[in-house]
Amino acid sequence: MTFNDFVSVDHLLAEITATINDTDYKKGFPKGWYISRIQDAMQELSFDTFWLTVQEDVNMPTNHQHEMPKNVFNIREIYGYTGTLCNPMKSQVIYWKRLFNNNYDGNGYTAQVKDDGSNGADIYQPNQRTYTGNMQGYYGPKFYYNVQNGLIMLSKETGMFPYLRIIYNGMGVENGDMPIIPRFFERAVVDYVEEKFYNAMKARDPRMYRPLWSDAYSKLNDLVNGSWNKARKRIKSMDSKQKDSMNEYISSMYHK
Amino acid sequence: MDLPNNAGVIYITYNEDTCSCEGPAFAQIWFQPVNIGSVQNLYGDEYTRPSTKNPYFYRVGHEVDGVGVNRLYLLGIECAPVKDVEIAIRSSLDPKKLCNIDEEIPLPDEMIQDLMMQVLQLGRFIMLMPKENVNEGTDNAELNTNMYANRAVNLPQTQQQEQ
Repeated sequence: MTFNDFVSVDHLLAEITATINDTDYKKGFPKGWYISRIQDAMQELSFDTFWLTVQEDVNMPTNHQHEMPKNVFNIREIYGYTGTLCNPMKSQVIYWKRLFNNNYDGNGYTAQVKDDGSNGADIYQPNQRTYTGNMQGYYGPKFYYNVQNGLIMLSKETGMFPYLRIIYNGMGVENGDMPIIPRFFERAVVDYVEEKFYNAMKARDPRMYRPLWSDAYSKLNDLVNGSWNKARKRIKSMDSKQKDSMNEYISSMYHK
Repeated sequence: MDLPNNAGVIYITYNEDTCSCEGPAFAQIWFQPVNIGSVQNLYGDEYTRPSTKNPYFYRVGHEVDGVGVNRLYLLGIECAPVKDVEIAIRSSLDPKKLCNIDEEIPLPDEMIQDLMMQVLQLGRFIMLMPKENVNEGTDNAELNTNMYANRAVNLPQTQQQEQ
């Protein structure tokens, strides 16, 4: 995501509290409630748009296991590399292996299909030493991982690299920290918080707040002009340079 | 002063750096109003949890268990050495102190028209008071409506109703 411009929480609160007529935080909720909703909005936008990527460089765990940090989901890339932590030299892509399980660390593991073909006695699986004699000596990729309950389990061969780089999608900041809001999400976040405010106040005074909630809801969720969909479209229409480069690459593919 | 939503207290602030009330109020940490019944809920969310940067106050007024109290409780600064805080409150005129009619009432000019209207409203209300609603302690007394130019005069006589 190409941007480096953010708006502050106070900037949003100034608008939100004026719109809902609670500038002194006496009619609705305390200030923290609104900040919490802003973080909720950023979190939902993260799940919807994958706008935030988080990079983690760590020493390769000796027990072939690495616990995913908080506030991330969806692994995008994993590499093992040499050099130093801040200066990778040689690197190797680590692949995801189906049903790989090394839950109790160490070198041993189970998988439906093992990379050395040693998971014998299943006639339906290829790469089985017992039944596919001609596959003797075939070894699958050795650098792989799988995830179980937030635990990244790595194959023992990945241990030959001293460092591990993992790139995730992030969910915004950790709960309790000040949310970070890219400027192009400002409208969506403001409308989201207003909708949540009226939604909560609906239970206190349905007659007064239901129509207000209804307006806020359509302002947020309208398929054409709703700010939420606009935010999603903005993310999708970004990265012009990437598209341009991709066009150049495809159009000149026979010349390469 | 009892007003809904703790509106009697305009604000409470303190200076986080010096733990006192130095500096302008708008640049300081604000205590947010909260209802005592909602306090527990604040601790459920990391963003609303009371802290030195996010403090709260609630008020306990009137009587609690027969004891007259009127206190403001501050939440979130339990572990901070706060010396003093700045409080802005609304105050009202105590009518008990307005006994001397020659005394000047400290009323803002823009409220004088309102005061006149209120006095007139009170007069109209008295004029509308039916005589039969005035408890004189004698149940069988005949209605004497001479004194009042009020609604009782215009009430139909009971005998006329029977006819």
